[in-house]
Amino acid sequence: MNSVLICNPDGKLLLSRYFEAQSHGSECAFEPSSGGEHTAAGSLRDTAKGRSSTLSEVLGQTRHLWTKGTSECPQVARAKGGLIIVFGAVEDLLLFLCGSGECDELTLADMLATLAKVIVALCRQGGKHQRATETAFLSSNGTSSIYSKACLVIDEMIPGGILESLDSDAILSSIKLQKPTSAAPVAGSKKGR
Amino acid sequence: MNSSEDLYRANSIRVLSRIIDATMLGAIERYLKQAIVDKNSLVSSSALVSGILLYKISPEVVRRWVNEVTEGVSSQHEMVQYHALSLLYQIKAHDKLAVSKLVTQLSKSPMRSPLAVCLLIRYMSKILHDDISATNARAAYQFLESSLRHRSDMVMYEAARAICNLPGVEMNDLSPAINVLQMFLTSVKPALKFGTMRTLSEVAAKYPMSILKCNSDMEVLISDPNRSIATLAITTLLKTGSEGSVDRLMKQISSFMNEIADEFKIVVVKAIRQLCLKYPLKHRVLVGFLATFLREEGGFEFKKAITDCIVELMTAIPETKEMSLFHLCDFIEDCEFTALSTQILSLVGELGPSTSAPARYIRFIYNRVILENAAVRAAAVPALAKFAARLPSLRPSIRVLIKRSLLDEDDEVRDRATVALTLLGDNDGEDEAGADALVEGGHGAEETKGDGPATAGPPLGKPTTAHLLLEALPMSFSSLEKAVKAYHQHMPATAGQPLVLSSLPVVEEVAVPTGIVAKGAGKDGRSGSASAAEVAPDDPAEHVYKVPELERLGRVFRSATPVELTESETEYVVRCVKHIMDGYVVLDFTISNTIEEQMLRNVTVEVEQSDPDLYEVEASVALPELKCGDTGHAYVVLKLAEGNAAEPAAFSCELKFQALDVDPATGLLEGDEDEEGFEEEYPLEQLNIATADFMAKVSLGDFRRGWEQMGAEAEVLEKFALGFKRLQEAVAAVEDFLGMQTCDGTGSVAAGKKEHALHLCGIFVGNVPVLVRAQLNVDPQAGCILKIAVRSNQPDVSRMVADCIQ
Repeated sequence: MNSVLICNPDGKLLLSRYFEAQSHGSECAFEPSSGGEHTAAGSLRDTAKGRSSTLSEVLGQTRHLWTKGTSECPQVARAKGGLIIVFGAVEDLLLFLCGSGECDELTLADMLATLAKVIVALCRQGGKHQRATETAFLSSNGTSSIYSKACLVIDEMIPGGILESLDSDAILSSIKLQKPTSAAPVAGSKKGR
Repeated sequence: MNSSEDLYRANSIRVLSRIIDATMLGAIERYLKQAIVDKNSLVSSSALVSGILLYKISPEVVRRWVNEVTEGVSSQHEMVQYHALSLLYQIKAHDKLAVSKLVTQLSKSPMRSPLAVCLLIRYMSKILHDDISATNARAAYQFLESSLRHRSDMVMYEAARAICNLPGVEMNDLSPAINVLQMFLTSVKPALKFGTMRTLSEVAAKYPMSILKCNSDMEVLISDPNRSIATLAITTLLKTGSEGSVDRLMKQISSFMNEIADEFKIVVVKAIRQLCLKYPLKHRVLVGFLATFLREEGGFEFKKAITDCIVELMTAIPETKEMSLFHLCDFIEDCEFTALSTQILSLVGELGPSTSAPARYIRFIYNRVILENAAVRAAAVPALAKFAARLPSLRPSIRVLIKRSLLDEDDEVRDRATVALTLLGDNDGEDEAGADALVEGGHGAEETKGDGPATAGPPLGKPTTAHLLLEALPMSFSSLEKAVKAYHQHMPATAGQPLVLSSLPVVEEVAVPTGIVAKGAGKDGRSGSASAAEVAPDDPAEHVYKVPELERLGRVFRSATPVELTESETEYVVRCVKHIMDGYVVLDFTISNTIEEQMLRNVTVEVEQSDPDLYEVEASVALPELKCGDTGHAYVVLKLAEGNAAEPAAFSCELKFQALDVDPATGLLEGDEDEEGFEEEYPLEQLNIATADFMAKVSLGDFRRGWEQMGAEAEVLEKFALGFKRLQEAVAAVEDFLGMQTCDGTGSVAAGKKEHALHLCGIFVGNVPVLVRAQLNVDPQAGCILKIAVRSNQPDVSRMVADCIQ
């Protein structure tokens, strides 16, 4: 698993999570540094450079599909370095999941389905007709916002880039620090396939 | 962590696994083991995922959890099964037998989790890749085939992909997997379609015939809104399509080429090149198609890919030459990339004069002189000059055109115009003598394409000077640079004389022996890169010059490729490079010590030859000290005996040293500093010196001209019967026996041919240029017959080279 990105319909980044940040080498694979010794600052700079290059690569490769009513099922694209991008529109947000190797397009598509379901559910908690939009995503009601909950969701679902759970109900209860309801005792049993 | 709340337990395990270090892990190991077998899936999964993360920090602790993890594999929770299998594999990954057992066992008992089954398929596929002849290979294939009927798409896809990627899979075995993939092509899920197309495009590269039945489904996908899928479909179709479908495909591609990114366009261009090579009769359509896109919008990489492709097709399919040249000329009329314009101009200069109507290219080239920037103008002038040099009828007109560049604002263009006019005979008589001297001295390493018009000989009135325009520099710029550096580093006795090409040291184009780089790579990247740098330094003889004892021997003529004298896993790893000098051979032994408890002192290599009359061991330079992990050099100087020019010989080698005990923790000696240590000997593999070692693999310019100039005075003719069944093998063997460079592209044999003419050249030690013409015939009854003619200016060298054939 490489990264999770959430953007508004214009491709402006709202949330990003890069799992390969720990392994600095793979991050740099997108944008090889000019060489020499890596100082702490240099390595940070490389990481930031790598990230922005991943982002522009992801957006560039998929932009032609954003406006074509592709919300019903996740779309796929390829990027440099064997990276596979699976993305989909969730109401008014764009979700991107990037991975390579073991984390192939089908696994990513399953993850995307779960993530989309959870984010929609989070938005609905603010009101029955509340759509998943940029405003809803960033708005805060004092202590918590959907943004912060989305961060928790990603931690719950793919901690450290390793797929841990695909059960949307279990994830929603976990982020409230509630026990999973009895209806969903087996994590992953409700996979949307 | 001890909370009764499952959720708290799971989360605390996650947090702890992120913050704990190896020393503290022991304290909570008990709880983690309990958590793995917890009945709550959240807790169990968290503990297993933590295990996967902790394995990187402290593998030996996590390995102790194997029983609990094995229990997890049979859990009823899908995600627990998946994580447990992943961790179990990680624990057992280093033990192939254990993995094989685990996979076989699990394939018999169906798992609930589709993700876990996918993992299992991947592990199985890996085992089959490592050893396809494994005893349980058939059972493994059957498991993969049964997985094709799994209820989950993910598992079906994974199994189909695994079958398609099996090494050496047969058509029959492939067919069920292709059926499944064909079904997925009509799926509504883009992810599935994409994955399927990706797999099919990989299969198409290896077995294009096996996916013919998917062609109609793939044609539908060309119009898929997702361009990634469409590109994959089109490139796959280009690999599998029949000759009849080419026109239709081209029409479909042109409709969407403008919509895809440049990097996908490049993929399409490469696929078209393959198609054109497959169906040469369709070259008109395909090259026309490429030319259309040359004129459309696109970045440098894309345009370069098209240009390269057209140029490659010109050499592969000669019929395309004139049409392609015309397309390329059309392209440079409006080309924004200087690099491409100059490349094409030089190509037109090479190939244009030999076309049916050369005059029509002059306009294109001269337009560049009028309209373009300095770099392009500078490339256009020599291109014009080449036309003038080869076509006497056009010469007066072109001279007029070039004269206009004498007043160009750029000095390079002016210089080139002046040189061209001089060589073309504008000032008769002047400079001719100087030019001749340059040509005679001109030999050295060269990277020519070998197919230029230069090989056809200069058909003109003034061959002595004008051929300078048609021939490239006798060596590449990088070789020239290396040669001059080597000359400067080790000035010969003749220093102070004017420097000519023939007095430069010989530089061979050394291919990096990748196998040795891979073997030499150490535990960490640092030592790996260090050894790689050692294998292919700029000058392999660099450290020989730094040894004072070897200084008197003079300059190294050439260095042979390194020979391994031990296995790469042994205690002491020894490699030998033979440095050839005039009258001497220096054996350069690179020695590595891999024993942590030992330090070596006074390391030497003792060599003993089978025939004592050929070489005399004149000196031996010991390596004073070698610590663990270090690499050092020891040398043996062999002097060629009187009358021995370069006879082959075999040497038995033995490593001799004093071993001293070292504390591996501190790296310090255990005894006194001046302790003697105990004498040890370590046998090495036999080392051979062949006559080919004395031959430098370098090109000597135009082979035919060189052959004629050399004359038959010192020619040696021989006839041999070789034990080869195939012509290509025989050609490779002859190249290998002689250690010479192939010329004029004669190194490769066209398929189905029974005879082949091979041209070889090289420089023998003592700067003796040698040329070889070989004629090979393969007859099913008589075997392979080799007729060889060797020319040089010394009869004994010619004889010795002819005797290299074994």
